[in-house]
Amino acid sequence: MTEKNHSDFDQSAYERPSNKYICGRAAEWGVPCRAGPNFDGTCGCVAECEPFFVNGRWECRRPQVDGGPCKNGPSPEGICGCTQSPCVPRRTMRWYRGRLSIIAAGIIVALLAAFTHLSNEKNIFSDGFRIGALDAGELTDGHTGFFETLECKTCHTAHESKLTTWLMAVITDSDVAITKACVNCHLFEGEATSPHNAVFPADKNIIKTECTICHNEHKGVSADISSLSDEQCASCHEKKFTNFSTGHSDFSEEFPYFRRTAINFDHTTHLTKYFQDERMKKDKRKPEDAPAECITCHQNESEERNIKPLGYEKICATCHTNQILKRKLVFLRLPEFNEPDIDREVAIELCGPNEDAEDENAEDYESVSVDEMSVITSYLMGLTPDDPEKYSKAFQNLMLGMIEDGISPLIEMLEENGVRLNANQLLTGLNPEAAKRMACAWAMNLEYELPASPAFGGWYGDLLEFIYQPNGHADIVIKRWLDFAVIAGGDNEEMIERAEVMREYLLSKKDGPGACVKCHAITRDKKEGKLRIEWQYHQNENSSYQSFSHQRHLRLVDPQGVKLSDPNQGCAKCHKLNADAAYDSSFEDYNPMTYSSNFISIEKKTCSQCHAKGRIREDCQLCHNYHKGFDFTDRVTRNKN
Amino acid sequence: MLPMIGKASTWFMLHTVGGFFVLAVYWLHTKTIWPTGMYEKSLAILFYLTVTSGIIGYLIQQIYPKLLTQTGVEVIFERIPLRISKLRQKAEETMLKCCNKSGVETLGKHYLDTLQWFFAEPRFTFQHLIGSQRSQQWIQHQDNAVRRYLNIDEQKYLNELSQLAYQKNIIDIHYTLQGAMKCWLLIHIPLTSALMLLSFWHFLVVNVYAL
Repeated sequence: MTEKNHSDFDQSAYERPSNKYICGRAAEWGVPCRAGPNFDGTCGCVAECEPFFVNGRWECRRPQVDGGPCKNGPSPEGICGCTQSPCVPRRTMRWYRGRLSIIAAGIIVALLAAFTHLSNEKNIFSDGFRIGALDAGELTDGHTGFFETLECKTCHTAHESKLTTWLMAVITDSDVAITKACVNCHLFEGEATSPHNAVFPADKNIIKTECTICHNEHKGVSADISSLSDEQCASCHEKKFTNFSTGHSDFSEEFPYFRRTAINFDHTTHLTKYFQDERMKKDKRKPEDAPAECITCHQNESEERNIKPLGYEKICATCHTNQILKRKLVFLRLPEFNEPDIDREVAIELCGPNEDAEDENAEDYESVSVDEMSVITSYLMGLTPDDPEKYSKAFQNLMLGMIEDGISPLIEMLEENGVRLNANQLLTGLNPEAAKRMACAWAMNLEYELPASPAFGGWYGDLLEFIYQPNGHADIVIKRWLDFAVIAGGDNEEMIERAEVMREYLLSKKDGPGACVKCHAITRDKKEGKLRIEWQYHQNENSSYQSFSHQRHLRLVDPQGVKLSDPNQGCAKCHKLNADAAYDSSFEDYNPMTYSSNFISIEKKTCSQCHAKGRIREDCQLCHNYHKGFDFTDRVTRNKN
Repeated sequence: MLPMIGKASTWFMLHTVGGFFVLAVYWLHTKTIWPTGMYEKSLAILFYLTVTSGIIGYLIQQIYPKLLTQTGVEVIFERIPLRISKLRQKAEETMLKCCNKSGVETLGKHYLDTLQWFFAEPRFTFQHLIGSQRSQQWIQHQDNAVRRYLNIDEQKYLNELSQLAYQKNIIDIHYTLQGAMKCWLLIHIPLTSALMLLSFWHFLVVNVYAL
């Protein structure tokens, strides 16, 4: 049945599968014409042959496959004698295939044209349809609101521009324009296009980044466009690794205790010495009153990276409040005078007669005080504290001023000496009448006797000193005086020296007023920067690219009955006390980065015990943030669309 | 076959491997099975339809040639109309010869009632597509139905007619299967054409708006 000689010229017709037409008879399952249709789609077999004129006569040329020359032969005019009615050739499958492809492409072009160019507000297509050809998907929920005013042009500057401009945008950097649009709303601590918003050394070859490298919008309302994959991180970082547990480098030796704490709290001495001390038994307190767990002092309920201490009143006040109350600030001290320069008549007129006052005409004047000026007054008045010849007149004028105007001369003295802090804050609560009475007594060369002891602290004169006694923790007057101390300076060596003496007095851990800097660190943030006292708890934000959730980790151990004080499973699993650390020495200089923590640094293996393949997540973003100081601009926060 | 550019089967294999590779690249590129946005959804629909038609075509090209080989016959697709017309002609001649010789028209009437329909054009297309033996059963049934009414001489002609019918059935199988091997391209190629055009649009839009 197989046609073994199916290609022989005298056995078969010549098939032309690439023709656009097939025989109409074959299409209707009749006997197909031998020659098939012509290229123009007409039947090619009306005549069975094309007679050939040779030697003066027409010869039949019917092929062998159709039976060879016919009996009738051609007519004298050369027309084939075997004709039949023509068929109607049909299109081939190949033609239909090509035509369908063109139609399909045409439909796409037509739809794109209709949805992008041909439609406008007056046309049948609504605006929504028109955008449809360009719509890459819905924006995330957070971005939808900023889209409504300018629509696509909010981010895509080429949108709705001229066709030439639109096409030119193909070869320009559209992502740069998008980044500009992003920073209209998003704010970072560093350059937006710098990797990690960081500042790199000038000689380092850093490639600019664009927001769209990592963040792709139009993924739907609830799409997470902020998460990055490890592969995305690895595409830039030189050291590539597949997972944290096996590829991440070891943590640094200081990790995570890079910066000195704001509060000088030595965990080692408190836990091993003070809390074990016999004095803990006093006042009906028992040794077990000492903190038993980390969470006795550190709140842990909602904390992420930093576990804040509960605050002074809850955890420090019991032992340290008395120390604060005992430390007084001596603002003025009546110094020794060689001879009285004050006009006693004026003083008596303003203060009234004083029975205890010495006779003005007494020959041997003996100063009631043999002390020096206070270091504060010495600095503020710019006088040598132990040379009566130099300070006598000026100090007695100050006293006379206080008699006349209360505290005004003191404020003037502060302001004249360039006190950058508000002078009123330094003297908050100072009663002018009390100042006057004390000055009156001193003017009469008498000690000022305090009518009643100051039960609640504050300003008061006592004998030869004008004192401020703090009324407890966070006393605003003491804080301002200490702030004043750290910034005090001078124009000459003498002033600088006096400022240093005053600073030593005010900031002394042993004797300083309020004993504040016993706990609060004094810090110089930059090399040539100013000193400041860290009054507030310092969040550990130094490594802003790292994140850690204490809350999630504590939740793992607490509900299972594991005590956080358990040395193997609790807080100490990661935070192990380092008894040998020179913690206190970290506060001797003002550099916060000079730090020896009370705790042994955390090693990578502590984390990789759980964060490993097949156990808990170990992707880059679990612990690292890409951006530095992420925030919003006024456009967002003040709704400036 | 043009030896310089390799066998058609080699090209087909390369096209198939390339097609599956493109599917993987597509998912790596989009990072999703179903995108958002009207034109991206359209692009995805076209892509999936093209891939699906390609996979169906691949299966057709893998399965049907084996079925065609099993018939033991080689037929050029374009000549099937001619082959069918020749078989029909032979069948009609056989039927007429039988009527003339026997003088009764039992077989002739049977042919007009049943086999004429069968020889007119390819039949049992769907059954051949799914590999069913229904057509052979039908021929056998027609043979059995009339044989009891024929004498020995007439039965010889019936045997010839049945042989022709079986040959026609094989031609029908070729027509159906070879036709399917060509027809899937009527879907695959137009879809590919539309897909390529929309992909170009995607390239333009992405470069204008995002890159």
